[in-house]
Amino acid sequence: MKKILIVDDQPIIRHMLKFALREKFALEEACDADQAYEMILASPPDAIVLDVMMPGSMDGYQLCERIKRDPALSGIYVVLVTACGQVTDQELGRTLGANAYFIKPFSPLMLEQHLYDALLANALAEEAEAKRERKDSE
Amino acid sequence: MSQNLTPSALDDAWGGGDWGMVAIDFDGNVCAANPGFEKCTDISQSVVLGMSEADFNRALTSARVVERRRVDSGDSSLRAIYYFRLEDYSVSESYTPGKTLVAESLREPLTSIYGFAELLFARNYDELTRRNLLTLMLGQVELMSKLIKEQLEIDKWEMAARAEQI
Repeated sequence: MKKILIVDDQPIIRHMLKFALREKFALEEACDADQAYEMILASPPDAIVLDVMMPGSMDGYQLCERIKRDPALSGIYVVLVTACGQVTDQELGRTLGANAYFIKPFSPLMLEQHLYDALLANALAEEAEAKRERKDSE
Repeated sequence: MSQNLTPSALDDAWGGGDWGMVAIDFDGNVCAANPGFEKCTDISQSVVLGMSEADFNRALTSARVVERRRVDSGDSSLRAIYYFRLEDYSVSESYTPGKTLVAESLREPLTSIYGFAELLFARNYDELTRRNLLTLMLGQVELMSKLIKEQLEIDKWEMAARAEQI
């Protein structure tokens, strides 16, 4: 089962996301970006559902940037979720390397499907790459 | 669950959402469509209700839709839900920063209400879980109500201050 880290300062949003995602994924949660970063370093998840506006020394954008700049972590699939719906916010998310951007309120079923499809595609790509490497070395 | 689902029940849950939505029942027919769907496709709800999924997709070929997605419901009573995006989200130029902030604050409780409503609609939970989720939703409705009331109070003060200046 793929592991997903849910990062949001609102307990009720984390609760809702856990309800939506628990059937298909193994879940972990963090209430701010600092806690999330520690958890990521200790055991990197396959994907992160990351709120943008959070209290603490880092917001969601900063955590996303830190993950995507680190070669060891950049493969983690990052979905930003935010109440900021302006086009400029989405562009910033894309610039920082976020893989997807969901604007609150969003459909949890659609998020579940999106993560499932994205992680499946990642797994298939990794498998194809491994096969190619094996072939090259033979 | 889909047998008991009426279009009006769906309207109550999703009437105010930003997405058009259509539900496909276990037999593969359209069993519900929300007002957002009508708004985004110009196709009347009464036209699509009862249509097979294939006919429904054919009917949509001429519709003007920004984005369309099909999501399996993950529940035995409902096969899938289609989502239609009405338009790109953007904040109108007439919005003041204060109002934008309030709009963004309202999106937080709205997210959990929307999410739990969709999960209750699409999945079967036991009675205790259903009640717990509904209690959480009611709490979020109260929070929204409080936020709106606070904004109206601020508007009232601002208007009074402006009137005094004049």
